[in-house]
Order: sequence, then C-alpha cells, then structure tokens
Amino acid sequence: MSKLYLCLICIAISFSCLGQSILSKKISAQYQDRPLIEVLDDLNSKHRLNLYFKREWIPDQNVTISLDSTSVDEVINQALKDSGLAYLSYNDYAIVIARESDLKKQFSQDYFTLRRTQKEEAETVVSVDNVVTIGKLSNDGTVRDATLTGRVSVDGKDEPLVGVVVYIEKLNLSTTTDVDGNYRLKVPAGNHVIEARILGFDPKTQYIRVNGNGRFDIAMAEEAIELDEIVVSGVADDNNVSSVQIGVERLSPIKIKEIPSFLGEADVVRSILTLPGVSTVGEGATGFNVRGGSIDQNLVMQDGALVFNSSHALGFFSVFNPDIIKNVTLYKGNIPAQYGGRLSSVLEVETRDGDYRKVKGQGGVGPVSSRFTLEGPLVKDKLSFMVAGRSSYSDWIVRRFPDFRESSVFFYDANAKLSYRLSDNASLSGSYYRSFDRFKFTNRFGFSWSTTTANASFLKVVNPQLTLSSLVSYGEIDNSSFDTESVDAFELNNGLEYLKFRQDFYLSYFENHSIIVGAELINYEGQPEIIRPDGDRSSIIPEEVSKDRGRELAFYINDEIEVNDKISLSVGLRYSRFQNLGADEVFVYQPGVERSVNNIIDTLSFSDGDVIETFDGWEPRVSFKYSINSTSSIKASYNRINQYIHLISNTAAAVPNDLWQVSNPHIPSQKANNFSLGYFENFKYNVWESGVEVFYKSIEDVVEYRDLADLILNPALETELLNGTGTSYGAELSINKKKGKLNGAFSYTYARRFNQIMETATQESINRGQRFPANFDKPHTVNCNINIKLKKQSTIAFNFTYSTGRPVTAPTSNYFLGNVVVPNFSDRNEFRIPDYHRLDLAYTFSRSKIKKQRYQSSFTFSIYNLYGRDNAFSVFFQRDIESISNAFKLTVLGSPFPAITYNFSF
Amino acid sequence: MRRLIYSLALIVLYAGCVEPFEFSSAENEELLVIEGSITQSTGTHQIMLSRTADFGAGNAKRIPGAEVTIFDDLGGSERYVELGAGVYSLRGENVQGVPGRTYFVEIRIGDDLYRSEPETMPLVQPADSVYFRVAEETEILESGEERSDFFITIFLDSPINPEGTSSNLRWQIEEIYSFVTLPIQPFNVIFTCYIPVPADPQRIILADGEFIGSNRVDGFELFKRDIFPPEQFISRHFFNVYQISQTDRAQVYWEDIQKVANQQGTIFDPPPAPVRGNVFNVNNPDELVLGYFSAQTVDTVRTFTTPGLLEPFVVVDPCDGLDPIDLCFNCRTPQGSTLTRPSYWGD
Repeated sequence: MSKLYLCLICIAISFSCLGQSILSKKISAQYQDRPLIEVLDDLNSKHRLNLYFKREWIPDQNVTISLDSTSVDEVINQALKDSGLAYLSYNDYAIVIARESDLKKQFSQDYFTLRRTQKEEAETVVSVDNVVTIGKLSNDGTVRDATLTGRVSVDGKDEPLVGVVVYIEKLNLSTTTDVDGNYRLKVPAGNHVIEARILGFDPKTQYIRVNGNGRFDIAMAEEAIELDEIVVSGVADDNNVSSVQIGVERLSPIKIKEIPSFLGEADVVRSILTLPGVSTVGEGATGFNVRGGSIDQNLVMQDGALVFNSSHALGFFSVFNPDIIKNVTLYKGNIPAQYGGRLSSVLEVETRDGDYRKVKGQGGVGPVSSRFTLEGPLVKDKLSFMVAGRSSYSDWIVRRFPDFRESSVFFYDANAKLSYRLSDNASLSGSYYRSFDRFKFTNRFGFSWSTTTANASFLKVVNPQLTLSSLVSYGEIDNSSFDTESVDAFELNNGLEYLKFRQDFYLSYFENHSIIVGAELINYEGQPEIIRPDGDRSSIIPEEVSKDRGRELAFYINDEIEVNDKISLSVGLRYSRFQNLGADEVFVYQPGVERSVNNIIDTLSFSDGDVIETFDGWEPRVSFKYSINSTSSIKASYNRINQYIHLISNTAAAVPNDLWQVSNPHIPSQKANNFSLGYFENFKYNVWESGVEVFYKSIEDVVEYRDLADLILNPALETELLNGTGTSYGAELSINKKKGKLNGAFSYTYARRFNQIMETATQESINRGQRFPANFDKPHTVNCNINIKLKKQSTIAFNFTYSTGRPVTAPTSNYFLGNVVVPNFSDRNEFRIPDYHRLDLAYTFSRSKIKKQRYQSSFTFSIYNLYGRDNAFSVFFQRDIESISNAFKLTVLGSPFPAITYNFSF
Repeated sequence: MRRLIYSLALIVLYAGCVEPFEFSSAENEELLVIEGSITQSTGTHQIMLSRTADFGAGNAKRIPGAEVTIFDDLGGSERYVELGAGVYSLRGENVQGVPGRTYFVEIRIGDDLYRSEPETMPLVQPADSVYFRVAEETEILESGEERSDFFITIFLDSPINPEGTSSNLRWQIEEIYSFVTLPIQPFNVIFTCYIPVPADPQRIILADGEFIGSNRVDGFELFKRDIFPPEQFISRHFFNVYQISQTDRAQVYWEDIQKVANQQGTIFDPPPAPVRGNVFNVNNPDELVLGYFSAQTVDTVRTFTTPGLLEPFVVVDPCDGLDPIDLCFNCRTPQGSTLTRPSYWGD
C-alpha cells in the first residue's frame, strides 16, 4: 500500500507543484510544542512546500521549532527529528516524507535488486513487444554511449505520466519522468530491456537495440483498479480555498457524465444547472441564468469561439458534445480582465486535441441521439485530428404519435479539429463547429436555427517567462421561422456574423506575479431581418429590416499576485470600446416626448464604415484572498463590466428567432458592478469542500420592454425598448464531498433580480416605476447530487433540485368591450407559478478497464423525474366556448422519463 | 407574426399535460370599465359603464346612477341619459359629432370624477366596396385523409390616406341573414326573419403596417369563414362592414387590446399587461381605469350572398326533407332575430 500511495502522490505532485530548488528555499518557522502533523500541514500551506506524506505515518508527537530565514532542508530535518521519518526531494519541486525504513528500502541502491527479487518471486508476466531499434549506427560502426529520451503517457489518452520509474535493470540505470512525462537516460549502445513502472498502471517492458541517440516513447495501460483513486488534475485539490478567484466552478467531462440527465444525454448546460447560483426559467427553456442575470449576460465560448445559442431542441439539450470536452469553467463571481462583454458570467468550454499516438473512437447510443468521435494522428506525435458528430433521431420518435406525423424535432452538431505540434514549445490548431436545429409542427409552422464557427489558434512558449497565444475566430448564426398556413404564410430570417481576433501574452518575469496582457477585437455584423411570402397565395409583402453593425475592441491586463503566504490578489483592468458602424439610417425622435414612430422628426444617413456612436469604459477587476489557515480562506471581489450586444427577447423563455442587437444611439451599453464576498473551508484533507458566498450586482441601462411590445420586423425597435436599472443580490452555500465511494454536492442559492423602469420624458414606466422581479427571478434554489460507487463497475447517482416558481403576470379579472372579452392583467410579474422540484436517478454499469481490453463500454440507465412531479412549465389562459378566459397549468415532463444509454470507446 | 409564437406555445400544449390552475392570490379589484364613442353619424351615441368581473366569470357588473357629460371644443356640453343597465345615451341635442372637433367626457360615480383625454374626431374615410369569394379548400389530415370545405372570404377595396384622413382604421363586421319559415298553420302564414350571426367575440380587425404610406388597398382580406350551417345561406346573407377611422391613440389602444385578448400567457408569450385607456380619475391619476372613449368616424359598406352566388357550393335547404330544423317552424328564437326588414335589404 505504501508504494501505491507513493506512486499516487507522485502523480499528484507532478501536476500541482511548480516551485524550484525547494530544499534551498529560505523560510521562517516558529512552532511551540505543536503536534507534528499540524506543523507539516502549516508548512505546506504557508510556504507551498508540496509536502507529501501518509497521515498515519506521522507519529503523535509535538515539536518545537524556532528558525528564521532558514532553508527548508533544515526546517524539515528539525521537524522530523526523532520521528522515525525521513524525506527526499522529488525532482526538486516536492518533498516526500515517509518512514525512514521504507524510504531506504524503496530508493536505496538496493532498490532494483529488491525489485528483481520481487519480480522473480511473483513471476510477473510482462508484455514484450518486438525489438525497437533506436538511433543510427555511426559511420565507422563503433559502439558508443547514447542518450535515450522519450515521453511516458497514459495509453490512449495522451496524458503525460509523471514520476514513472524508467530503468534498465542490468545496467542499474534509472530515472523518473518529469512533469511533462519526459525522461532522459544515458545508455551504452547495444541490446537492452527497458522497463517502466508506476503504480496504477501495468508495467511496460520493451527490448531495445540502441545504436545511437534516439527517442523512445512509452504508453502505459491502466490497471484494472478503481482509477478514480488516481486524480490527475491541473488544479490543486484545495483550489477552492487557495485560489484567489472567487465564484469559479469547474466541471470535468467525467463529472458531467455522472450527473443524471434527461433521457440519458450527458449535457454541459444541464450539468451547469446543478451548480450554485445557476438556474433556468423552466424545463425546455433556452440558456441559463447566473446569479440573477439574463441569458444574454453569459459569455459562452467553445475554444474561444462565441456561442450565441447554447441549446438544442428549444433547450432540452445543449450544443456541446460531451465526448470532446476537456474542461468546462464557469466564472460567476470574479471575472478576470481577459474576459468581458457580458455582465453575469463566462462559460468557457475547452475541447481536447485529438490523440497524437493512435487512432481511437468513442461514442454513445441514446434514446434521442447518437454520437461518435474519431481521433488519431495524421503525423505521429505531430499532427492529430478529431472529428465528432451527434445527431438526433427524435423525428422518428415524434412521428410515432398520430398528431405529429409531419412534425420534426431534429438536431445535429459536428466538430472537427486539427492540432499540430510545431515544436516542443509551440502548437497550432484549427477547428470547425456547426450545429443545426429544426423544430417543425406538422406542416404548418416551425423554426430552424444554426451556429457555425471556425477557429485558428496558436500557442508559443517563447521562454519560461513568456508565452503567447493567438486566436482568430469566425462565427455566424442563422435563424429561420416559417408558417405555411393560409394567407399569412411566410418565412422569416435573421442572423448575426462575427469575426474575432485575440492576442494574449502570459508573463511570469516577476516572482509571485502571473500576468496576462492582451487585446481583443470583435466585429459584429447583424444580418437583415427578412420576411418573404411562402407560396403564391400568401398575402405577406416581402420586407427587409436592416440590422446594426458594431466593433468591440478591448485591451486588458490582469495580474495574479501572491503578496505573501496569506494574501493573494488578482488585479485587472480592461478598457473596452464599442463603435456602432454604418451604413445605416438612424431615426431622430422629437425630444421631450415619448419615443414612438409618430414622433420621428428626421432620419440620419450614415455611409459604410461611418462611426454612428461610440461607447467605452474602464473596467476594473479586483479579487482578494486572505488565507486564515491552510484549510480556510476569505475572498472578495469587485468587477465592472460593460455589455454591448443584447438579446432582444421579451418572452419568459427566449425563442430561437430572437434577435441579437448591438448597441446604437438609442440602445446604450449595459454596465454592471459586481461584488462578491465568500468564506471557504475544506475538511478532511480537502475531501470535503464548503463555501458561503454573497453577491450583489447593480446594472445600469438594463434593457426592458414596453408592455405588449412588438419586436419582430420593427425598423424602429427602440420604440419598444425601455431603459432602467437592475439589481441582483443573493447568497450561495455549497458543500461538496469530492472523493470516496459516496461523493456528491449540495448547494443552496438565494438569488434575487429586480428591474426598475422609471417614467421619463421619452419613455413610459413599468409598474408605475416600482421595481419588479425579472422573468428569471427565482429566490430559492436547492441542488443536491449524490454518487455512490456500488462496486468497481457500477455507480448509482441521484440528483435532486428545488426552486421557487418563476414570476408571471396573471389575469385578475375580465371585462367586455362590445363582444370582446378582455382579460385584465396584474402588474408585471406580480405572481409566481408553483415551485419546482424533481429527483433524477442514474445507474451506470461499466466493464473494468483492463489493459488488453481495448474496447470499453458502459450502460447508463436513468430516470428523469423519478417521482413524476408535475412541475408547471407555464401557466396560460385559454378561452372557453363563451370566450371567458380560464387559467391552466402546463406540465411538460410531468412523469418519470426512463432511458438507457450505451457508451463505448476503443 | 404573433401567431408563430402562439403556435410554438401550441406545440408545447400538445406535448404537455394541462390542468386547471388557480392563482390563489389573484383578486379582482373591480376596476371601472368605460366603453363608448361619438361618431359623425346621426342618431344616438352610447356609453356603457361597468366593473371588471372575476377572472373566469362571464358577466360584467353594470354601473347605474352615474352622471355622464360630454364636452366639445366649442364649449358645448350635454348630459347623457341613463337607459338602464349601465348604458347611457347621448341624444345629440347640444353636442353632435363633427370631424375635426375635439371631445371628452366626464363621469361622476359617487364622489369620484373621471375624465377622458380629449380626442379630435378624424375625417371620414370612405371605403369603395367589399366583396366575397367562395373557394374550396382541401386539408390533408394527419391521418392522411383529405377533407374539403367551402369557405367564403370577404375582401375590401378602399382608398387609404386621402388627404387629411388617418390610416388608423378598424373594421367591425356584422352578419345578418334572412330566413323564411314553412307555412305556419292554421293560417298558412310564412314569416321572414332577419337574424344576426353572433360574431366571433375576439375578432378585432385593424389596419397594420402595410397600410402606412399606401394610397389604397385592394383585395384586403378582412376575414374568412366556412359556409355553414346551411340555414344561414339559404336566403340572402349580408355582410355589413363598418370602416372606423380613429385617432393614433385609439389605434394603439386597440392594437394592445387585440394582443391581450388573444394572448395565452405561455412561456413563449411576452408578458401581458393591463391596457390603460384614455380615461382617468381626476383626483387619483394612479387609479387604473379600463376602456376607452373615442371620437371616431364610420363608413359602412355591404355585400350579400345568395345560394346562386355561392356556386359551386350547393346550399341544402334545411326545411326540405323529412326532418326540417326547428327554425323552419319558428324563426324568432335566435337572439336578435326580428321580422323588421333592414332598410338596406332590398327586394
């Protein structure tokens, strides 16, 4: 077990520690009669020593140390005095503490002798492939020493393996792989057996013939053990406490697939909805709301490309293929200065590179859609490809219902990525993405919407202090809606194009400073809103309403500073500037009276490229962390953010043909001040995480809508929009258990969002100028998900969610105008639909991950809405035969939805 | 375009489970509702005063005992006469509707005084004609079967925006058919009734954006209905179209009423809202008063059908056969039926 532990910590070490010359580092240590384990913990957290030890090895003894500006070497020696423990420096950036006897046994000169004996005793069967020839013979045929280099990675994953012992027994030569999985051995020319070992992986043995200098890479297969015990992560275990950032949530693809989902489809956005501070207005609603923000206030990116509609099938699924995701990060508190343009959050979805070493595939078959990903090298270790696709066959299901024979609910998305390693320090990648949705009800009406993006990015590590990253991204969205019925048959289109350039410089010239400096330019081109008649009989007159163009430019700098052991700062400044550009015609309204089409007194014409209006602003971003001790910290942040593009949608849930509109002389930029404060504490060596955060956000020039506004094909759109202020505030409590057979997360969020639209000379008020809850104001949200590993191959997961019903404007009475029965409505959003709650379950059974078994598969059986809660999707009003309106509650998914999904990889 | 959104709502309604729902705290405040107008036509003009009924209830609460007075911009005024049941009538002795003049009403109910915002009566905008077309339409059902029905569509030809007039147009359509009974014994008398067709109560027809800037409109589809039941078409069937020219403010008001009356309140609908009219409480401007008092002008155009004009549709005589309908023996039973022939009916 001790070796297992050592190997595991070796892996952890390699990914979490970045310091140099650790034993010579000068530190101060003052401890008076303190338990040794506390002293070690304290040293670890205060000085980031990367001490690794097994807690049961630490004797129950107290130590006293009083040393100023002394080397780590000396401090640890004194701490471990008379403890029976010893330490060793691991690759000069971590310190392993273990029993003296164990260390001697494992790492003495006798180590390989001992290993050989053990090996013989155990008669371990090792894999022996064909002989590999390395290097070229010298011209004169003489035999000489050669340098053997290579990289050890996880078989099939291209993940570097750190701390692997690579050795040639008969020569007593050994080394270990570094943080990138690389090793270097000086060996005499000739025939050898090279071996690589690390716990958790099957040992690898290979006959080699060394002729000269050369490269030999090793791929190691995972053993048939519970791999969850090995956590390979670029993020420290105590990141929630130690990081200076507040309000950052990270989801791994594994986590996303663990969460029970609707119809068994692993889904990024639905996973995000289980996080504190994230909510949605209803089942099947597009997008998500973060801390009382509207859906257009989330900056959603896939590999840096902007994603304007994150939903398939009106919001039941999201547009991200879970099989190609590397990381998902949600910034909802402090948004560092390198991000901007949206007021509430940043959702960054990173896709991984295709495998550089071998061709692989994975996919899944579910009740709604199937997906398949193929990846592999085009030039081994240099150029890789990945293509992935998902397509629904829900059309087939929908058409089983007699009433929907001509209906369609279809979507697909496709990703393609090429990644090229120019050198050890530079890489280039290009990606293409397209998603498409069609939603058609019989032959009468429907929608379609699509997103296309193309990216090229370049990363270069110039030197250890300077890395540069460049991105060019192009994207377009096309929305279409159609109605084939009778005299009004039409097809309506709108869209948006953008072109984005981004250049970042990562600087680490100064000790304890991590600086990012960069610039970003986005050019938005609103596509005209066009209506055409559908068929000869249609009375619709073709019409085109042009949409605005704009250019958003931003410069930013952000510095993460470790002031001392306790205090860290993230200080950033962003300057953003937006220009609304011609060609365009801008209406001039009569001053001092309510803006309406009847009050247009002039029209100003602007030529192509003319600057019509400019908005700009400085956006300071500050985040502060104070570590109370090694397991707890307090953090606070302040952000100011400007937003220059807005989703024009006055329905409770956005519809696919909603417009994206850039700021113009009549639609100012939205501005927000975000404040966050939090306390974070971890327990049981970071197995348990907890956090409490409060937040407050004030928004200027929030976009609201006149009562009964007409937004479609409106050339004077501004006459339907109102400006006001918004306020959101709330608190989040979260408790996570990250490891163990039973793990999971619980969160409670209290979040409010109010808007206030006052009457001015040029606009009417809403609710007589009193503040009112926004459509997505849902004060209480509880999320709880639990994963239980039943045995090696199976997991059962539960997910429970509860939230307050969303606000709604309800009819309070009827009246008559002649024959017309008119319902009279309450103030805007005065009432609420019933509260929402739901329990989901998922059971996953997978085959053990055995090395020789290339084909891996698993089944997931899930039940969405286990107890069949008939949650209100909406409350609506329908007239009876006497034309009297009555209220009804609509439930979309009001019964349990079971599903089986089959996933595979090879 | 709104229909697209309604349709989206519809698909969700189809797919989901629907059950009645009650807003527990939604209480009716019994707001004042005013409906009335003054037009250029001779005769009486009426105002109806009522209060909002509970949501889901069918009867308005009429307000008796109010004092209603109209004022014009020449300093004239005249008090309405209460006819009962919340209906008040203007005889036009001192104040008559004249295009170009401005009018407002004051209403005193108990201690509260309400006043309408002044409205200037627009010029009359005469319509050229209305006419109809009959067409058979075939619908392919989801089951794959075809179903054919005959429809009648009413079209309008009209100049738009003649000098000085407004493009704010609203149309009301009235349908009246005549029906002749079988000989009634013992005197073998035949009665001819003139029977109004209950109009679709939610039918609000307004000129929309396509009228702005146009000189005239030809073949504007006012509305369409199926040719059923046959008794409505066995004799002459009139479509009386009232072309109402109204103020900008009134046009916006009716547009909003049109939205609210047809809105369903689903997740894909814009938030509904109370529609504030042009009447306010003089002492409490924050009080929400519903309804509208308008100064408007009206022009009437008509068309009628006969069985021969409906061909190729064949009207089956409901009194000819073994099982004649009740109307064949007593045509006075439908609401509004009268034996008095309207003046425009002809021979």
